[in-house]
Formats: sequence, structure tokens, C-alpha cells
Amino acid sequence: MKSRKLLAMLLAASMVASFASCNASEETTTSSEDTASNSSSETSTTSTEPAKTSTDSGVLAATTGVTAEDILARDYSEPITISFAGIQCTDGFDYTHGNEYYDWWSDTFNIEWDVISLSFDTWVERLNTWINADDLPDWSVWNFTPGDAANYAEQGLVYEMPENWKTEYPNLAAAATCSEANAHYEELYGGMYYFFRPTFANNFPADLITNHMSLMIRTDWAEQAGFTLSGLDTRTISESEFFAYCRAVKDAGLTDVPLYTSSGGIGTLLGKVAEANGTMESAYYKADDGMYHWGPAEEETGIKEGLRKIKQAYDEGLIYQEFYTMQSPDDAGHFYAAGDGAAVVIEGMASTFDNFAVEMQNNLNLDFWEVASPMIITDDNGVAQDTPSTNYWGVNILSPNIDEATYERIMSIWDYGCTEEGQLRIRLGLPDVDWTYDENGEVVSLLDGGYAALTEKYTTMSPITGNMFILSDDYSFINPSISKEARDLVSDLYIERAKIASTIGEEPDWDLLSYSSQAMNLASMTYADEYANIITKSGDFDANYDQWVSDKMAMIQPVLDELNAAFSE
Amino acid sequence: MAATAKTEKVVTAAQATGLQKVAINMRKYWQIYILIIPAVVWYIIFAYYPMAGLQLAFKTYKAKIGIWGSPWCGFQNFEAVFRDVYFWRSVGRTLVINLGRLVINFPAPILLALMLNELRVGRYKKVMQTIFTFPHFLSWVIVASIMTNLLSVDGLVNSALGAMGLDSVNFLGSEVLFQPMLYITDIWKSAGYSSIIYLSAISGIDQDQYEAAEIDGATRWQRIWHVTLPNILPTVSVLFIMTTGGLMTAGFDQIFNLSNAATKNVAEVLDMYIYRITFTASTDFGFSTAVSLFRSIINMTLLVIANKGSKMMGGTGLFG
Repeated sequence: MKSRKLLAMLLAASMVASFASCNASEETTTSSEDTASNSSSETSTTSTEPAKTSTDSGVLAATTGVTAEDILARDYSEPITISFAGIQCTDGFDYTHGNEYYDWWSDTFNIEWDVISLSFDTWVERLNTWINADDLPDWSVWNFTPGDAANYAEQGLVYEMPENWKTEYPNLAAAATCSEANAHYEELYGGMYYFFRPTFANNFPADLITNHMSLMIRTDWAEQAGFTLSGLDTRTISESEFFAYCRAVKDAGLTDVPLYTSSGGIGTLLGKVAEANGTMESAYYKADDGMYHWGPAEEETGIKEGLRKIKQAYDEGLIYQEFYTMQSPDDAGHFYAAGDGAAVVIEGMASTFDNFAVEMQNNLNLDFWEVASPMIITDDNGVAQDTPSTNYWGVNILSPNIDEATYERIMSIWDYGCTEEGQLRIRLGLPDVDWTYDENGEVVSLLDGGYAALTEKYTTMSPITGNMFILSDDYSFINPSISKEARDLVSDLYIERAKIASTIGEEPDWDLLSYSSQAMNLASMTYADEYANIITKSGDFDANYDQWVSDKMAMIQPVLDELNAAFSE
Repeated sequence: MAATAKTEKVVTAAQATGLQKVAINMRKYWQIYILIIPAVVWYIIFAYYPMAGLQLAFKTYKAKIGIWGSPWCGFQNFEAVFRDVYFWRSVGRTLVINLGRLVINFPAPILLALMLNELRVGRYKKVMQTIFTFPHFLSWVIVASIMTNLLSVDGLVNSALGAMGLDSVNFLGSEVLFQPMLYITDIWKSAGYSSIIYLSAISGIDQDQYEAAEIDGATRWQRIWHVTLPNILPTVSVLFIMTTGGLMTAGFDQIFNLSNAATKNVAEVLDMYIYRITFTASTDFGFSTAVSLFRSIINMTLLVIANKGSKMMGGTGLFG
């Protein structure tokens, strides 16, 4: 009994240590001891060092007391079939023995996968239907919505973790601390129902987690048009400068339509140029007066003015006339394949840059690193508008009807996936086949063609294992199968954004993030589409915008009344 | 005693009305009635039993305790529905679009059937019928994609306009053109298939009537007007009544796939509204059921009115 208590205390202490290392990357002032920050400086533009592995950083280094070897040494003699529902799975692919990569997982954990492939457009509907029908697969990836989540937890429609899960699966517990959402909602719902999958865990290079959306522009065209990009060194561009760049390349005859983008891209652009107080996603925010307001109706958010500039650019022909019909990656295709786009809104991630490099070389015979650059969008005061990060994307949920053996097997797989060994296997493939350690102890890829070669060799590796808990974004900063240029570039962007983000010192508004009501449901809308509609509407912009706000307030006011009654100061 | 009972039975059968007649008929023709059992069972299982779910409109749904166990909430869901200005707008929009369909799209398959019926070369008629019917089997996702390629600013139609020296037209982003586009695509996709029922009604017309008309010197147009149309009028009436009964249902698939951010203000019909409140926010099955129930009641009311109206005008009702 005493030894158990001692073990529990040791585990608790190790988890606190890992929590500290994890949270350090989310705070604006971080400890210089923070290994994640250390690795960031090593992967900045000035770095010539090879990428570091996660050996000595973050939660994976935490002494959880349970190593990968311990997890693999457990008794898996009973064969288990695990049903899994997730997006981006490939129908018809044998996830149990489709390739050597999945062979290892299936053989080691003695499992068979029963995979249900979900598409992005029906993902939410299907899972909500299954949850409400009490017919969930063993493990699903769900798009968390607070109203449903509270309801499902209250009714026991999703599995509640037993009290000992943190001690039984300490690597998972340590990784879970990387997203504040895990602790917040565990406390709010009185139990652990949802595993918020952290986007970043060990390798984030900056002191503040920011949004990765950026603009990609043609630097060679700017030069040809005689346009000076003032923020090229820091990779920043203000809204006004961006539209001036678009105008310059159009006037120079380099393209007819500088910006190809989707409605979502317009929403992103607006979110990044307006002083939006983080209102682009939920649109509600608590202002200095301590009361909740609706962003589009308030002058201080700058949404109207930002939209006016975008509307003006649209009317000038700087934005593709039918942007509202565009889908990704068609917008990017104009940039890297057709070669007629001067800019595109992108997810500024390392693999994106490598992908652009390959496509531009293949299609346009251009060297991406010479002719293009991702840029952080700022307002005219040089501030990158953002929302405080909760550092997660999607949640893992288990069926309330799951049997104990299946539960234990899934948790062991997750726990293993959060160890260093697990991460290397997930990100790089099989040791000594796809990657190995060099003489300096650094991880090196054995595959020609890096990340692309890996995903080609093991198609469909990411839907189940790749994003089983810690998302792939985290390892991309040090992933040796991604080019060093791309890794350095993405690190630079995060580091720069952290310096100029509007969210410095701000915390997520958990009251708002956790709130749900019928009024809020009725007031739900896709803001990017709303803004796209205003941009394309003919007639007087002010009249159209004011009319839209006035229309919407009929739905919005009840929400504001509820929020202010519950949370105003 | 047995004779008395037999006499009573005969008298009862002769004097029976309504349900009694049905019962007597069923006893008499029981072999025939057995044949409809599968259809009746199907309706009970898939149409009538699920109607029990309508009680959700008056409940706060709790999945764990099911539809029957969920707590009642009175008219709370309806109050929320009726308070929402966007609900009423979607109702209005649905009615406007569907009234347009009734005027523009409903006659299309009738005209097509009449035209196909006038074709004299059998093989050509079959080829044309196949061509007109084929689009029905395309999903709206495919049709929307074809439309986008045809009508986008750099699509086929605008390229042709450009070649003729005309300005390009923003077909896909125009709120004004959205409704006509719905009608045109609907006619293109459905008229051929819908015309089959009229063609079958036409094929059932007694050929003697045409011969008599021809002997009387009737022109082809007069034969259509005075023979074909009056003969298919009962079919037209029934389908008109059925269409009127669906006036509050505007075809989610079509509008969902053809609309976009630029046309969203004219595209949020009732189905789109239900989709938005059900799937773009937290799921609220009670609320969604309330909206659906409201729609069904209006549809049912319109159906009954159309049925009565048809009968009053001397036409055929749904039940003869």
C-alpha cells in the first residue's frame, strides 16, 4: 500500500513537471529553462544546426514512470477489434495489415481495425447522430462543441474515464496537459470525457502559441513590378501594403487576378487585418466595459473597415470574382500550378512549404525558395490579430458501451503514442527502415524524398495513428523528413508572430468558449460566408453592412443578454 | 336459429354503410386484401410508427432516456421557432420559390409529354425520351458541378458571350438569377423523368377518340387540346394536388449544392434553415422537430385545400 502511494506521488510529481514544461510554451513570459523555447532558438533562421529530436524537451522527456518498453511489455494476448471513426481515412484500405507500418501496430498490440471513414462535410452530423443513438464506435474523433459536449457528458453518451486513467497512462496524461482545454473541461464536466488533442506539445519554437494562417506571395513579381515589400525581412505585410502589392502586380501586367482565394480565405484575411478582438470565430467578446458585445456591430473591432478595404479590392478586380465558389486546393493551384496567382491564403505549416516547393518546380519550373515567401498578415499598426490559443484540434471520445479490454488497449496505444519512441514511429515510420540515429545521436531519415516519400510509402498512416493524440503539427518543427528550409521557415513565422500578436498577455475566455444555449444556436452562422456575401453585394457598402448588422441583431441580442446576465463584470 | 342469423347477416350487408361495407368487402375478397398487407406493414413501420417521434417537438430530447422518456417542455420549442425572424423569412422564401415551381416547372413535363407523344418516328422518340430522362439519374452534386463549369465567369457560357463581344454575366453570384437557375436546372433534370407518368396516361387514351377527331377534321393542335389534355386531366389534377402538398419543401439537395456565399440570402429555404440550426451549432432535435412538424402541418393543410379546390372545380381529387 505504501509503495503504491509512493508511486502515485512520484507520478503526480512527474506530471506536474511535464505540465510546467508544456504550459511554458503557452505563456507570454516563459522560463529560459524551457526546453521547447531552447529548441526554437536552435531552429530559427540563424540556425545551421540539424533539427533536434524531442529527446530532451517537453512532455516526452518527463519522467512519467512508464516507458515505451513498459507499455509494449504489457499483456496483449487477447485479440481485440477496435472500431474507429475518423476523417480522412481511406475507404477499402486494410488498416490492420495494409502495409508494414500498420503491421507493426496490429501485431504489437494484437488488434484489428474496423475503420469508418468520415468526410469533412458529414463528419459532425454523423457523429452527433451516432452519439444520440448511443451507437458510437469504440473510438471516434469528434469536433467539440460545448453545448453538445455538456449534454453528452451529463447523459453519459460518451465514456467517462475511470479515476485511475492518469496514473495508468501517465504519458497520455502528461501530453493532455499541453492543452488547457483538457483540465478545464474535466473540471467543468466533473470527469474526463473528452481528450483534446494538442496541436503543439514539445517542439513549439515560440513563447506564445498563435494561429498559423498566412499569406503566400510572389516576391519575384513584387520586384518585377518595382514594389518594395517593407517587411520582407520579418516576413510581415500589412493589409494596406498587401493590397498595394496586388495592385502593383496587376498594373504591371503580371496577372489579371492577383488573389485567388475561397470565402474561408476572405474570412481569414479579414480576421487578420481587423482589430477584431478575436471575434472572427465566435464573434462575441468581452470589451473593456466588462460587457459582452458582438464584434461586427462594434466600431472598435474594425471589422467594418477591414471589410470595406476587401470590398474595394474586390471591386478593383484584385480578388477573383467568384471566390465564393473556390475550394481548397484550387486557390493554391493558381499560385503553384497555373502560375497566375500573386497571392494565396495558406496554412503556414512546414509541410505546406515543401509541397509548394515541389509543385512550383514541377509545374512552373520555379524555385519556390527564390520566388515566393509566406508573410504574416498584420493590421496597419503592425499587429498580427489573433485569438488566444486553446491549443487543440478535435477531441478523442470513446463509446460509453466500450468493454474494459478494448478501453485498456486503446489507452495503451494512446499512451505509447505519447512517448518519444511512439512519436518517432508515428512521425517517421519504422526505426532502422525509414529512419535511424546518426553518429551524433540525431534522427535522420533513410528515405529519399523526405516527408513526401514517407507518406507515399505508408499511405493513409496519419488518420489513425498519426493524429491519435499529439497532432502532427508539433513534430513538424523538427521532423527530419521535412526540409530544413521549411522547418526553419515555419519556426521563424511562429517566433515572429509571437512578438507581434494581439493576444500577448491574454487568456482564452473560458466562460464564452464553454457557453451554449438555444439562442446561441439560432444565432449561429458561417461568418466567412456572411462577409463574402457583403463583399459581393452591389450597392452602397455602408448601407448593406448596416442593414446586415441590423438584421442579425434580432438573433444576436438575446445571446448578448444571456452572456451579460451570466458573466458580465 | 341458424336461419335467423343468416337472414340478419344478409340484411346487414344490404344496409351497411361506410366501414361496415369495407368490412364486408374485406371478408368477401379477403384474398385480394391479403396482397396489400406488405404495403400496410411497410407504412406502419416506416411511416406511422416514426410519427411517434413528432412528440419531440414538445420535449427536451435526452438521448439516453429516449424519445418516450424525455421530459415535456410544452410549446417552448415552438415559441423559439416563431420568435426567430429567419425562420419566417425562410418560410416566405420557400413558398415563393415553390409557387414559382408550380407555375413554371409543373407544366414542363406535361408539355414535354405532349411533344414526345407527337413524334411519329418510334426510334427517334425513344432516343429523345432517353436523352430527356437521363439527367434525372444525376445527383445534384454532379449537376451543380456542371452548372459551375458552364456558368462561371471563365466558363463555357461566358466564353461564348465574350466571343460574341458581349460582357460576361456573373451567373453564379447573382441573387437575381438564382431563382431562375433553380427552375431551369430543375426542369432540365426532372422534366424528362416526370413526363413518363403523363406519357403513360396518354398511352391509355382510347385511340378511337383520335380517329373520330381526325374524321371530324380536327388539326393536330385541336386533337391535343380537345382529346389528349382532357384525358390526362385526372393525372394532372392528382399530381398538382401532390405538388401543392409539398409547397413547404423546396428541395434541399438542389439548393444546398447550387447556392454559395454570394447567393445565401436568397437560398435559405426552410430545409436549409433546419440544416443550419441542426448541424452548424449544437444539435437540438426538439427544435428541429418543431420546425419539421410546422412544415408538415402547413403541407397537409395545403394538400387538403388543393384537393377540395380540385374537386370544387370539377376535377379529380386524390381519392377520386
